[in-house]
Amino acid sequence: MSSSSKTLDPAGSAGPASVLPGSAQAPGAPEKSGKAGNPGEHSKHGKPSKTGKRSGGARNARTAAQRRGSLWSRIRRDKVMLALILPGFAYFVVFHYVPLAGNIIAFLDYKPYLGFVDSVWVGLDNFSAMFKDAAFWVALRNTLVITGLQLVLFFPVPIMLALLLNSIMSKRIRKFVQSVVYLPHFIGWVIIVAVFSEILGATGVVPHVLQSLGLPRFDAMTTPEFFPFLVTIQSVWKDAGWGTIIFLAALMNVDQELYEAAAVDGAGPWHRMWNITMPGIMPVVILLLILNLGSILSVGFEQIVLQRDNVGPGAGEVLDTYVYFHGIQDGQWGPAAAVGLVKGIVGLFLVLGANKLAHFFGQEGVYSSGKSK
Amino acid sequence: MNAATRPAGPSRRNFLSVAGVGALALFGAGSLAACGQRTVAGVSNASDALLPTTIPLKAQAADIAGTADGVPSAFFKYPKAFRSVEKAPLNGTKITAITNLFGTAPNGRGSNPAWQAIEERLGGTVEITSVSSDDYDTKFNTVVAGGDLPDLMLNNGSAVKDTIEFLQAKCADLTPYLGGDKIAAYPNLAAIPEIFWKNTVQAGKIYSLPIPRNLTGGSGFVNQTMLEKVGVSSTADIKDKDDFYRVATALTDPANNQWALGSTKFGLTMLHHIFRTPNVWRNDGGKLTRAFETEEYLAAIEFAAKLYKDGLYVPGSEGWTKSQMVNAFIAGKVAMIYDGLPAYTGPTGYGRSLPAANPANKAVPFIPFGHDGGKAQTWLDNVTFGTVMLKQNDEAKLKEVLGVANFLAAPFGSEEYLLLNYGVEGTDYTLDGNGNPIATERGLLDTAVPWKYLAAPQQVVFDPSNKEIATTLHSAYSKLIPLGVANPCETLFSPTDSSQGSKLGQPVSDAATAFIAGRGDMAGLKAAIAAWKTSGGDTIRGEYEQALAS
Amino acid sequence: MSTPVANPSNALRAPRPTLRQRWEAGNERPVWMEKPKPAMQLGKAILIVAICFMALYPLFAVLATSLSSQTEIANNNGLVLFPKEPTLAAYQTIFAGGVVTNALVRSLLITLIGTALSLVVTVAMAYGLSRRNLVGGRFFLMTALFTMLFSPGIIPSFLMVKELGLLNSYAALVLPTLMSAFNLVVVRSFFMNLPQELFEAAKIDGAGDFRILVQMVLPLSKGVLAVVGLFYAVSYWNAFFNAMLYLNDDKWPLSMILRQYVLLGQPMGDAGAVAEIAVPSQAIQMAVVVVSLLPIVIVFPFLQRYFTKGVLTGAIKG
Repeated sequence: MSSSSKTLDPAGSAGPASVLPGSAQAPGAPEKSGKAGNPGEHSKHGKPSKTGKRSGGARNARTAAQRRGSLWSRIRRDKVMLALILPGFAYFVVFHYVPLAGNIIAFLDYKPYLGFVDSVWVGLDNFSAMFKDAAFWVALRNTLVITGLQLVLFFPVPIMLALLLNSIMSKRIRKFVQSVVYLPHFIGWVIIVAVFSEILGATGVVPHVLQSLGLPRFDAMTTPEFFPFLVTIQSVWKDAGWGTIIFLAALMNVDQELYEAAAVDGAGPWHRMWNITMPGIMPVVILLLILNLGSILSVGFEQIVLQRDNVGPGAGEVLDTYVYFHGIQDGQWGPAAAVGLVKGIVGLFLVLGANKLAHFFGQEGVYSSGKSK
Repeated sequence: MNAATRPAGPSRRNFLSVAGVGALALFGAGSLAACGQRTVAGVSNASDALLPTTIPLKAQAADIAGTADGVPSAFFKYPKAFRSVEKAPLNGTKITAITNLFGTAPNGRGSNPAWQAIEERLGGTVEITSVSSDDYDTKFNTVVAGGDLPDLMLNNGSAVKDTIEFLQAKCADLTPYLGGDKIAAYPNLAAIPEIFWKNTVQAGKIYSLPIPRNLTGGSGFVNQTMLEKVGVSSTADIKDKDDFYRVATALTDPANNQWALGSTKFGLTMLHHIFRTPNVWRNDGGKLTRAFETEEYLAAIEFAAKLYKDGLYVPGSEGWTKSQMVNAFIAGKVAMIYDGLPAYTGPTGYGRSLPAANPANKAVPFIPFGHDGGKAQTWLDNVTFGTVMLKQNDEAKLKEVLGVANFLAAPFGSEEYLLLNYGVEGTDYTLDGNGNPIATERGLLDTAVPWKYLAAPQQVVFDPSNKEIATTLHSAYSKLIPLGVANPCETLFSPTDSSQGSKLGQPVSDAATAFIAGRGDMAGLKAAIAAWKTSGGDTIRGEYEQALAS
Repeated sequence: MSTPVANPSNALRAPRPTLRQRWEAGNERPVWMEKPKPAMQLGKAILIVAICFMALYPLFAVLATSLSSQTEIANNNGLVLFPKEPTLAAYQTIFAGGVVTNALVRSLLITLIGTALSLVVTVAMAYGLSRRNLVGGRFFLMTALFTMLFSPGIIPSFLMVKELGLLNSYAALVLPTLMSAFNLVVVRSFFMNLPQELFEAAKIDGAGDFRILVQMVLPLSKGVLAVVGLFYAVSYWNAFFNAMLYLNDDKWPLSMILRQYVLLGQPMGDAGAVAEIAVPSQAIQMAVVVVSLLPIVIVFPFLQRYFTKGVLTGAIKG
């Protein structure tokens, strides 16, 4: 029970969560015991030796030397695993990497009927035109404001909702509530936006209530300053319930024994939540956070484009609508691909950076950084 | 970028990969409609000698005759059908086509007696790639990039960007088959009046077939009952803009959930007609002025801003979807809207839907007046729905394809029109006591095959349900078309406009929206217009002026 | 609609014997867990009821509107809560002629087969990648991750599908979206989370990697398989874009057919925006939403039994 008592140490909650067998990247028993015997280690962040240990663990350090044979022998050792990877890898190559070469149109004045070969090569013109356009920077700013706000306001909601759902003891109620909160995910934006304007719009319910209370009318749908909040609220309504799925799956993998042990040790419900539940799902939270960062330059296109004109491009233009209005509508395949590439590169750096940061804080992130050589 | 949409990995990624293109999904119709910025394919010196000669078919006894300047004829009941095509154009061969589809997907060929009957008359099969109208631009360009072009291809006005290059590289020159009297070989095509063929001429050659519409989209609709309640019997009687302001104020009663105006994007067309804003461009002896550079445009926008500021628009209506606008109009929440005239007839048209919701209510087309007591000016902005291009082929094949087009262009009153639009008698429709075809339940799905977007005759006004609807609409066309001005650049081509037109025009329309909605001002609008000039507007103007001069 | 929620929460707060019997079956409170304070319970109950109300109100409005006449919808500004004369007309319109019914069958088959294939490929690759010191493991993982950030674009994807001869075949709806890197990473992360010592032991007993996957890993992973399976199923069910791009209308899945109805109610431009066809009534659009929701509502309870606590723990103990 050394691990559970360690987890109850408040200082430990900020440290390595992986001591829990139930945590998503649980490094396995050998490492766990190694860690438990070295309780101070979690405070020493960022040492290369540590990351190496984290991902590989003591076991790897030991076995790597034995197993580091020739490449061929390692392949033979892993042949079943490699064979299992093969179909998926082939899929990614055929349906992603080969067509990905088509992004060359970012450097072309691409015309579909001329094809890749005969379209005119324009070098970086598509990129420079984009960076020179003031509207692009406005769209970029709006995108970052909205995604930033969603990161702060939206991202925690599914986690909290999942905790709430998880705390419902009656199976029937939990199932019912679960089913209910998933449903909005399946309603299209057209209808959601219409429903919101019935409620928050100038002729909707809320302004009427405000007016009857003697308060100033507030039209949430057409106030530019409120737009990022509006978009976030709509996203929460639509997708917070759906977003709980992964967290619930993570929650159900948290080891029940830990709770039991903690309860025996006299820890209250809040204490258990902070010191067992949260560290238990933290790897999943970090994983999703990192993956989300990759798409920080994308905001729901359909949602925004439906409402852009309510607030004007100053507040309502985001990168995806910018591409639509400035690229696609004129058949500008090249510039549209250029924006896509820039978004991808930014996302790549963010994911790599966030993953590094996660390692720094003792989390595994999406992939392990230090190879166990 | 939220955790919740993330899990649906594939679909989301798909959506992103199409970012804007999936977007077309949403706004295809919008881009189609974004007439303000769109350049309809066309070219300069369409020498008249080359245009097809118009050879009217034997006169049909219309209940109200059309006119030479394009007012359509009107029918109160379906006339006795005549056969317009004797010989099957195909000889067991197959042709392919791509066009767009509105509404429901049709029954497949195997379970579609109407489709089978049509192919029997054609003497061969037609493989149609039907694309949701909103996805058409995406799918068309993808198919083009794939290399296998269909024999018949709809150009909806937005799918093909660099029109002339595409036509010259990939499409058949139809001049040898249709120019001048040659068109006589295809009598149904020859019956389409000359005005509709002007759009089909590019770089001095006929490259496509027109899909005619009734010239003008109109100025919108008004709830006649509400109008009469404030003492006005017709919008045409409104004296000037001050009188209009007075009427609009009288029509607005927020306490009763009632406003004078409210449309997607403010329904500005109506006001532009009142203020005589040019139709996209104004041509003063070879010198072009873009509509939004004119005093008339600014005055119309300023007036709209005043109406908005004074609460005569339904609050929030600028963000309406079309459904919301339709609902508000039907419910009597808004007295005047902008929607195209074709939305008047048919089972769900305003002509029937307003009285259905409230027997006291009645919708009529808005007939504009001049802002200064003079005449209004409407736009001939709905000359064609689009054009249909033919893939390059040998002569025999092209003649076959044109034969099919001739069949599909069979005029109102013909057997072929009945077959194409109503299907097979007994299965898809029955004739009522007056000889009007009444669609059966399956008829709607059998006839949803988009034949009419591959080739079509000149349109007529026809609503067998109610004589008054046909009369009202015909009367509106008779008043609106004579007031209409064409876009002088409609048949011209500007490479810059084609490739950057909407990008350049977007800030102007955004600034106008901001001004009207009270977020911006006149100075902002003028600045956007000035920016348009320097950032490419003057180039576009130059290209059009050059095309005009040549 | 809040009653089913209110009752159980009351039952939780002060369980009278009869109610306790009724709910005991579903009550999972472990022996060690203390009874929460009543105030806390009340607050939670209110919160849950509020959340359910917020989620259900618009859905209820959607359902009610789908049962209303156009007149009533117009008079209610678009959303009806209690239709005076409920009518199934909108559903009759949608289902007339069998087009929707056929598409429904097609969609179900595509979703079933697609989800099964996707799960197989994803589980296989995720299992392979869950081996910590796999040869090239990092390379394979990064290969997958990279696809989340860069999209190939429509035309190149179309050309690939065309070259593979998949145009106008149902395979074009499955193969190009066979796997999502996101789901792969999630499954891999759950596999890595499993107690490795079990597998080490099995290995010593002579079990191969594949046998461990089938006999040990999969039974322990029902929860995550249910989650990822649901993600795949939902994306196959809703996917329309590939259907639009690769299939002719006689092969369209339900999503594409339904989209046709909803799209026509979308915003439109101004000048010259001439309706080619009248907007379908709002009732039809709402009926479309209801139809597309139905499979989820029907299927979800079956998946839910895997979404239970303690699957893993029980297995480790046993």
